Amino acid sequence: MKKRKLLAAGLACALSLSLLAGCGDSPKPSESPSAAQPSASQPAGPSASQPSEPAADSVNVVWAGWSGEEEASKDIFQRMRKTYEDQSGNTVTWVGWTWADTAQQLLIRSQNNSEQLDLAQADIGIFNTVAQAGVLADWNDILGEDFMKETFEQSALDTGNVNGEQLGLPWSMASISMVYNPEMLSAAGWDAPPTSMEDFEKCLADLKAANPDVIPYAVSTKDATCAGDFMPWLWTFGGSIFNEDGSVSINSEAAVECVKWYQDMMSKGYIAMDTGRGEARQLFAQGKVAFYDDAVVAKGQAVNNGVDPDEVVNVCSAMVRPVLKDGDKPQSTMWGHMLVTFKNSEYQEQAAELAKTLVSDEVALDYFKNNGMPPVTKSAAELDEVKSDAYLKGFITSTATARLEETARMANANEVKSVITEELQYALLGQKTAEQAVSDMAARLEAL
Amino acid sequence: MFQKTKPFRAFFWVALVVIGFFVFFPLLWMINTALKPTAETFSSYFFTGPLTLDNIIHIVTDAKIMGYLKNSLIVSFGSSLMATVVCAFAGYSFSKFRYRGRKFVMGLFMMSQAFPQAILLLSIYTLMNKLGLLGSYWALLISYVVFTLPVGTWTLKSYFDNIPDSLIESAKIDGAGHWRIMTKIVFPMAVPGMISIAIYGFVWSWNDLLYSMTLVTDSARRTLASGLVMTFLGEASTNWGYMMAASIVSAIPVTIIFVFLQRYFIQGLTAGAVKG
Amino acid sequence: MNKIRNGGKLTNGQVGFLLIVPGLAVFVAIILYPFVDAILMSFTNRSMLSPEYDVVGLTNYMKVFKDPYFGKTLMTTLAFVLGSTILPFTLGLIWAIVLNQGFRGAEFLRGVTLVNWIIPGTAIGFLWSWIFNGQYGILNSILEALGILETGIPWLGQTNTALLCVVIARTWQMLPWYMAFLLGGLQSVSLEQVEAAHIDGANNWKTFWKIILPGMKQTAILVFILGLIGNLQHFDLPWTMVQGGPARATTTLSIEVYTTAFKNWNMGKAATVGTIWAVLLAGFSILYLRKVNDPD
Repeated sequence: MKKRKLLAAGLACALSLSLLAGCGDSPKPSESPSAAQPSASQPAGPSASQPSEPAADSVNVVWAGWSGEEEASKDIFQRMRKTYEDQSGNTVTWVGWTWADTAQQLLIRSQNNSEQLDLAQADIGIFNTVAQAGVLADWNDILGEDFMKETFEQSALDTGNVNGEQLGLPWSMASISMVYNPEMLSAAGWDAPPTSMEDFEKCLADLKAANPDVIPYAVSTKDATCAGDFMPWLWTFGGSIFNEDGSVSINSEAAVECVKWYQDMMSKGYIAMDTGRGEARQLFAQGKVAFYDDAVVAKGQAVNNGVDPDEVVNVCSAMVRPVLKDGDKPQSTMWGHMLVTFKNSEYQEQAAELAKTLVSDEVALDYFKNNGMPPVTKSAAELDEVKSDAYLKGFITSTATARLEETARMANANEVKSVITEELQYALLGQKTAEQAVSDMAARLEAL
Repeated sequence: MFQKTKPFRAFFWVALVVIGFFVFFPLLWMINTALKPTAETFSSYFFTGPLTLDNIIHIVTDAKIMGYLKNSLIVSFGSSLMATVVCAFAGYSFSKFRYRGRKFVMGLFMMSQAFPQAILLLSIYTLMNKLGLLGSYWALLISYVVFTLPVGTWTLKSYFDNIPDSLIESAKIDGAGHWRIMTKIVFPMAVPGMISIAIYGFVWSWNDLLYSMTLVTDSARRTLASGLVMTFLGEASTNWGYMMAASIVSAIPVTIIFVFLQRYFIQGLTAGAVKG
Repeated sequence: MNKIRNGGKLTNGQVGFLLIVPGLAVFVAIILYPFVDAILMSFTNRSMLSPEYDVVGLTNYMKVFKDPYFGKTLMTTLAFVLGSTILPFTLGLIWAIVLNQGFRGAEFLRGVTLVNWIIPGTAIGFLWSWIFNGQYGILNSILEALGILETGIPWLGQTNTALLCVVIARTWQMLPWYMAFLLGGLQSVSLEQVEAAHIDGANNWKTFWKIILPGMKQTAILVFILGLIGNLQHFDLPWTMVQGGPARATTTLSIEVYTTAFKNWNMGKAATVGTIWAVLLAGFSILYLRKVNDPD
C-alpha cells in the first residue's frame, strides 16, 4: 500500500511538472505575455500576427515557405509581413516547413485543398515540382503581362515560365557559381583564380602541396547537391544527360571523361567523399577548402560559420567556372527563389499585392542588405547598393550564361538526380569503372 | 545475483568504463558544443577552450522554442494518458474475457507497427482532413496512441494475467459491477505497469517527427522535434550550437522525470510479464 | 460506460468486446484504413503530382522486382535491422547487469542513461555524422592522437563503413530502451534459484546461461522482436547521416519508401515497396504472435 502511494505521488509529481511547464498557456495562438521574451526584439510570431478582431473587410492571406522559419531570415520575413499588413490592412499568416520538406507539404496541401494557401516561396526545384502538379495560377492573368514585362528581365521571367504560363514570379535570382578563397590561392602562388581546366588542375595540385590537410575542391559527393554540381562539369566536357527531344544522352565519351576526371581528382586527394554543401561551407569557413560550388548565399554562410564579417571578402569570392579550352562558354546553373500563387486560392488578388510588396525596391533592398539575396526587378538591380557590390557582381556575371539544370522541368527530377549521384559514387569509390558507371546511368535513366 | 569473483570484477569495471564512455561521451560532446561560441563550434577542444552560455540563453529566451516545448509536453502527456487508458482496457479485455475474434484482434494490435509509416501518413492526412482535426492537437494525440498499442496492451495483459480470477469472482458475488471491479480492483494492481506504459508512450510521442510535421501546420501547435528541425536545419545552413543547446534544454524536463521515475518504469515494464 | 456499470445485462464477452472498442477504433483509423488504402494504391500509378491516376495492375510490382538494386536494398535492410538490434541488445544487457549491481550512483546513472532516448533523432544524426566526419570528426582526431591512425578515415564516405556507423549511432540512441527492459527482466529473475545454483557450485557464467537468461527469456524475446520491428521502420538516422548513400550502402526499405513517395512523388511504387515489405514482415509477425499469444 505504501509503495502504491509513492507511485501515485510520483505520477502526480510528473503531471504537475508538465502542468508547470505548460502553465498559463492556452493552445490558442495568442501568445501569453508571461511566456514571451521581454526584449523588444521579440518577434511577434506568425501566430501573433492574427489579430484578435480583424477589421470587417480585411482578409487573411496565408503565405508558406521555409525562410520565415529559419533563424537567419525569420526577422526579415517578419518585417516583410508587417510592411504589407500596414499597407493593406490585411493580415498575413505564415506557414513554414524546412526547405527540404516544402515541396512535399505544398503538394499535400494544395491537392487535398484542405488548408488555405495563397502565396508560397519556392526555389527552382520546388517550383518545378509544384508546377508539374498543375496547381499554380498564371501570374500574367493576375498581374497582367505588361506589369511582368516592365518589372522583370526576360531571363528572370523565363525561369518561372512553364509551357507559356508564367507560374513563377521571380524574387531572387543568380547562378550557382564557383566560390574560392583568395587568401588560400595566393598562399599557393595564385593571384587570380584559374580560368582553364588545365590551370585549375595545376592550382589544385599547388593547394594540395601547400597544405596536404586541405580539400582543395569541395565538390559535392553526396546528397541532393551531388548531381547538381556534376551537371555543369558534364556540360563543360561537352556532355549532357538528355538530348533536346528528352532521350537519354549520358552514355557518351564526354560523360566518361568527366567521371574519369572526378576519379582522378579523388585519387589525388583534391576532392573527398562524404562532402555535401553543408560540409563544404563549414570547411570553407575554416580555411580548409579552397574552392566549392555555391549560390550567392555563400558569403553569409561563411559569416554564419564563424568568419569575421569585415574580413569575409578576403576569403570568399566568386569566379567563373574554368573551361576546357579557350573560347568555351563557362558553365553554371541557375539558382533562385520565386513566388507562386495557387489556382484554388480565394485571395489571389491579395497574394499578388503581397508579392508586389515583396519585390518592391524598399523590401528587396532590406532583404539584400540583411540576407544577401539579390533583387530581381529591373529597378532594384539599378540601385547603387546593389550595383556597387563587388561580391554580387561575380555571381551576376556568370548568371548571364547560366542554364537551368537539365532536370529543372522534369516531374521525376529527383529520381534522375539520384541515379546520377549513386552511379557517380560507385565510380568514385572504385567499385565501378567510369565506363561502367556511365553506361549504368544511361540504362537506369532509360528504364525510368 | 553474481558472485563477486575476480573475473566478474574485471568484467564489471571494463563494462562500466567502455559502455559508460560510449553512452556519455557523445552526450558530453553535445553539451560541450552547446557551450562553445559560434566561431569555435567546430574546434575540437573538450571543455578546455572558451565556453559561453549564449546558446543556452538564446534558446531559453526564445518564446517560439519554449512554445514548442510546451506543445510537446501537452501532446506527449495527453497521448500517453490516452494510450495508457486504451491499453489498460484492451489488456484487461484480452486477459480476462473470452469472446470470438479475441486472438485475431490481439494479433492485429501487435502488427500495428508493421507497415511503413510514411505511406500510411498520406491516408491519415486525408482522414484527419475529413474529420476536421487537421492542425489540432487531436490529430497527433490519436495517431500517437497507436505507437504504444502493441507494447502497452501486451505488458498490461501480463499484469492482469497475474490477478487471480477468484478475486474477480468474489467481487462479483459481493455485487460489484464490471466497471467497479475494473477501476477499484483490477487497475490499481497494475499501476506500476501503467506508469511504465505512460512513460513509454510519452517518449514515442516526444520523438515523433514525421507525423507532427505533416499533421500540424500551425506553428503555434508545433511540437519540439519538428520545430527544432524547422528552425535550425535551414536551406543554407545548420546552426549546430543552437541545435545542440535546444536538444539539451528540451531534454532537461524529461530527464528530471526519468531520474525520479526510472525505478518504477523499469520495474513496471516487466514485473508482470515474466511471472505470467 | 453506463452499460458497463449496469453489468449483468451484458454477457462477459460483450463487456470484453466493449473494452477493446477504443483501441480498435484508433487501430482502424490510423492503421487499417490507411493500410488497405496503400495496398490499393500499389496497383495504381498514383503520383503526388496529380490527383488523377489509373489502375495499372502489376506494373509497379514488375518494376520493383526488375530493379537491379532491390535485392541489395533487402540485404542492406536485413543487415541494418539485425545489426542495430543485436548490438544494442547485447550492450544494453551488459549495461543492465552493471547498473543492477546496486553501487552508489547506479540509480542516477540509469536515469541519465535514458536521456539518449529522448534527444531528437535529427540531433542525434548530426551529432554522430559529426563524430564520424572524415575531415573534422572527433573519432579521427582521437584515433590519430592515439597513434592508431595516420590519416583520417572518411567513415561515412565509404560503403564498407557507412552502414556500421549508422548502426553505432542507432545503438547509442536505443541502448537505454533495451537497458530499461532488460533491467526489469533481470530484477524479476528469482534470486533463490540463483542462490541455489551458486550453492550447487555453478559459476557466474553458468548461472547466467542456465538460470538468469532463461528466467528473463520472455522479456528478452519481446524486446528483441520489438527492436527488430522498430529498426525496420527506422528512418531518421540513415537519412540525416548519409541519405541512404554512399552508393546506396545505407538505403534500407524504409529509406526507399520515403524517397520514392516524398522525393520522387511516386505513391504507387512506394505503396508497392510497402506492400512487399508488409508481406515479408508477415513472416516475422507469425514468429512474434506465436510468442505473444499465451497458450490458453
